[in-house]
This record gives sequence, structure tokens and C-alpha cells, in this order.
Amino acid sequence: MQRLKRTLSVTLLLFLLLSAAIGHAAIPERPRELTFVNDLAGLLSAGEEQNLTAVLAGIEQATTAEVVIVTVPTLGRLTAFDFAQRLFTQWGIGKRDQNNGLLLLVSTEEREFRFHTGYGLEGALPDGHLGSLHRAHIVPAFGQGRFYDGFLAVLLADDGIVKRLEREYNVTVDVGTVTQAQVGRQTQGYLGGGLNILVVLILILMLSTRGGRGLLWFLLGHSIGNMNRRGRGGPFGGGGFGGGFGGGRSGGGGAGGRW
Amino acid sequence: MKQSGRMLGVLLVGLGLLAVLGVFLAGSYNSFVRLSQQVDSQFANLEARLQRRFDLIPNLVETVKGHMAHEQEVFSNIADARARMAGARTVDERVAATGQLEGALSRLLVVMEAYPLLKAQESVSRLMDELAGTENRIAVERDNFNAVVQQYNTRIKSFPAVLLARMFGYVERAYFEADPGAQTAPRVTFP
Repeated sequence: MQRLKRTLSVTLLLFLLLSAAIGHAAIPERPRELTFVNDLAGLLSAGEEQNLTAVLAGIEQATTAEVVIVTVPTLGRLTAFDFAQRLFTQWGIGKRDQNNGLLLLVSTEEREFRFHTGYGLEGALPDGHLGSLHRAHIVPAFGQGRFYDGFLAVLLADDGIVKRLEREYNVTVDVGTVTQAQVGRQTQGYLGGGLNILVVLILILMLSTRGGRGLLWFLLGHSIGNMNRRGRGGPFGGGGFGGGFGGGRSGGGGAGGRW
Repeated sequence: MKQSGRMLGVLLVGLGLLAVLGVFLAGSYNSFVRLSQQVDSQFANLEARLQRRFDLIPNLVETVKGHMAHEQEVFSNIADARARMAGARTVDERVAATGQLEGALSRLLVVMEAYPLLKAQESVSRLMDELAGTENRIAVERDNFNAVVQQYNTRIKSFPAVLLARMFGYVERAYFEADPGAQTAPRVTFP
């Protein structure tokens, strides 16, 4: 009887873990800290990433707006809009009370670029203007594989993101004030792997004791109940509590296209 | 003596039960109010987005009309659809008018494909960006709206809240669905 129970627990647990993994396969996990540049497609060198982070961190310091770059190898079966909206909602980009987030999403397989604005920035960054930036700077630069140049151009151009946000918030963004200590580093991947091993070890320990098994059954029941809510986020849930991003929401504004 | 003591006990238990019932009823009623307000608020968001699309269309028409001199039918369809939209009063009328407007707009966008020089103009491109943006926003707010309607409907239909809801006039709300007779919503993409 004990053996049967143990086999069942392990099987159930593995199934749950697998389902959770599959559910999250499309949208990247939210980093624990506010990471401005998430180059999952490997388009930028370390130095380029650092420079871009300096600019985006400068924006956040001066205006509280969270401008985040995310590059992915593929959108899976989602459109650029759907992918951006889901990622934006899951990560909670922008401050919760201001919804002042801006996402720059790049997908290399489909050659899609998209600006995605939070509710609070729709006025400062209208769709038409973002579309113009895309056509003027992203399309030519990305077409030649100059991703760093493209990003810098939309950020620092005469009527680019920085200038627009400066006008909106009536401040000056100093892209050079950020010190080494404040520049966020991409630790997500490494940390994720380490955590998984830790979780498996804990599971093995729990399964070997009677009290641990009881606790496990309780946790299973609880997480099954919560299963359906994960990864979807609903209209008012899924904000970034507990770390880094401010928890802002998007109404779907923005523009973009292919290059 | 024992008689009155027992009666007092019964009375106290009865009062206790009433108090619990009162708390439950208040909580239930308040949830109807809260969720219903949420639906109204979200509907206002959705309406705002729909209104923006309605307002944008004349801009697009004016910008491209000069270049598409022979496409009168398309433009008159749009004008008709907008007029119908403006005159719609009941919810059903609005839904039908929205569908017709979406269809007419979609037709215009298709016809525009035959005029490649149009898209090369920055002013036209910007307008298309704005239109695509409103369509996307409508989709988001519609989904949000349907989600809160689902919350509300589930609440007022579940037992035993359903008994109380009807008493106070909290009825099921309709989801925002596209008019099945309309063409699909305009898809605005750039190659």
C-alpha cells in the first residue's frame, strides 16, 4: 500500500511538473529582477547589451517608465501582437499605478518587430509614431543585421523614445549616470536551472518521510486547483508582484511589422 | 424555571442563526454590486475603443479618397455603415451596426491593396498603424469585458446566491460577441 501511494505521488508530481513546463514553453519566464535587455535570441554582444541597459535604466531612473527589450528566436504559433500582449501581462511591465511600460519585442524566425505600450504611454507614444520609428530605423538596420544600431536609433533619434518620454515627463534622461552596480545582469537562465535541481532534491527528501508525503498530497491538491489560472493572467491578474517589474498593464497599443 | 431557560437558549440560537444569515446575505449582495460595477466599467473602456475606431475612419477615407477616385462604392458603403452606427440605439442595433462597419472597413483595406503607391506614403502608413492599433485594443478590451461578465454571471447564477440576485434585479449580462453575419474584422498587416 505504501509503495502504491509512493508511485502514485511521483507519477502525479512528474505529470504536474511536465504540464507546467509545457504551459510556459511559449512565453519566457519573467526575470526576478528588473532586467531591461533580455536577449534570448542572442542578437547582441555583451558590450552592446550593457550600453542599451544603461540607456533604458537611465529612462527608468528619470521617468519611472520601464522600457524593456526582449528578443526571442521564435513566436511559436502566436502572432507578434498576442505574444507581446501575453508577455507584457505576465511580466507586468511598467509601474502598477502608472502603467508606463514599453516593450520592444523581436522575433528572429518570423522577422517580426513590435512596440507594445502600456495604458499609460499610449498618449506619449501613439501607434502612428511608433510605426514611423519602425519603418525609419528598425527596418533598414535589422535588414542588414545591425540590431544594436536599430535599437539605439529608435531610442535616441530626434523624435525617438527618449525624447518623447522626456517631453511627457518633463525631465531630462541622462544615459550616462548609471553606475556599474545598477546595471542589471541576465541571471535568469542560470538561476532557473539551479532551482530545478533544488526542487527535485526537496521532492526526493519529502517522498521518503511520512510527514513529507502528507504535505505533498496537500500541495498537489492546492496546485491542481490553481493550475488553470497560471499563464493566462486574465484581465486583472498576473501582474509582476514579488520582484523587479512594476506590475503595469497594457491595453494592446503599439505598432510594428516585419523587416 | 427550566422551561424559560430552554426558551432563552432557543431564542439565542435563533438570533445567532439570523445574524449569520444576515452577514451572508450582505456579503452576497455586495459581491453582486462589485462585480456588476466591474462589468459596467469595463464596458465603458470597450466603448471608448470602439468610438475611437469610429472616429478614425473618416481620416483614413479622406487621406486615400483622392487616390482612389473610381472606388465610389467602397466609400459609400463606409458612409452608410457609419450613419447606421450613429443611429443605433438598442444593443442589438449597435452590434449589427458594428459588424457592418467592420465589414465596410475591411472591404476598403482589401481594395487599398490594389494601390501600392498608397502604402508608400507615410501619412497613409501612420493611419493604418492607428487603425491596426484600435483593432488590437478592441480585441483586448473585449476579452477583458467577457472575462468580467463571466465572473459576474457565474456569481449570480451559483446557488444559493441565485435566489438573492433575482430578488434585487441582478440579471445575467450578455457577452460581447461579433455579429455572426458580419465579415471578419479588418486585418491590417504590412508585408
